[in-house]
Amino acid sequence: MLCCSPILRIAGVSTAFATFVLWAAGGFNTGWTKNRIEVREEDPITGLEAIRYEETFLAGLEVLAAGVFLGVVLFAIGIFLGRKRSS
Amino acid sequence: MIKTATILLSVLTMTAVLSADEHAAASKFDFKDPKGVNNVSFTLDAPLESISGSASGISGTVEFDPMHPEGTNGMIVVDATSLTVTNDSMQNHMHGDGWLDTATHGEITFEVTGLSHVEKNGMVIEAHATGIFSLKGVSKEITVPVKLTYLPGRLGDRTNGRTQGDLLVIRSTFSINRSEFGIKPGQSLDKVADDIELKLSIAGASPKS
Repeated sequence: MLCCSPILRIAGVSTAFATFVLWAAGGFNTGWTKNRIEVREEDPITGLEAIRYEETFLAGLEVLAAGVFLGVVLFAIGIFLGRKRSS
Repeated sequence: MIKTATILLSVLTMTAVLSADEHAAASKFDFKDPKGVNNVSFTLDAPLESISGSASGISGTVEFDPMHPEGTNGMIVVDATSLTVTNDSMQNHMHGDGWLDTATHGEITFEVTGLSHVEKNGMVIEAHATGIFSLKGVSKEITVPVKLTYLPGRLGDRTNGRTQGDLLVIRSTFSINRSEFGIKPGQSLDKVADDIELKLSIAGASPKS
């Protein structure tokens, strides 16, 4: 079990980083996670904007928070186990 | 006596002709848009959460006379089940019986009874529209700013020449309070704002035979 501490620390950092990348790739969405996005297209005759929806996944702040929290927890457990082994 | 009767008959005939002419000038515009451009978007900006979305299920008819826009009347109907937001969970909550209960109250309507403060600038008319707004079974009289753009003979451009006629574009941005329509009054105000901003962007067609 004690041998897992470096793996846990790496897993923690990786989880937090991967979550950040996933969130950033979605355009730093500061709202909730989206299942679809709005696409607006102007009608040339009336000048009105048609609103259509495209199914997609955009990670929101709650996904970022959960990922970073999980990463920190894994990293902290890794450090705790490492200290226990060295003592 | 005969002279008086003749004059009276002439006046009545003229009134009837003028009245018929007035009715003939008003056209009925159908707002069921096969191109799917018509929409109503909404925004609720609460301290903790901003919710926005739109509805595309628009129908209804409006009678409009470009010479006498103040007499504009009709009804715009929004299919409440077509209300869409960008998150599935939020959408299910919105349609649920706790909020809009769209299974029971499937339509949101605005019945326009007339225009006031009419300002004409060519084919563009800005005015205040008064009518009955109905949401979740509650009806209230409201007056909202509207901008009408009359596009005579432009329906053909939208239908690749298949149908000739006129277009009427209506734009309006106004706000309602959800509490006034019995939608969880006073509840969850930090996450779901009481003030709902609505933006109407619709075009109606009046085919000419």
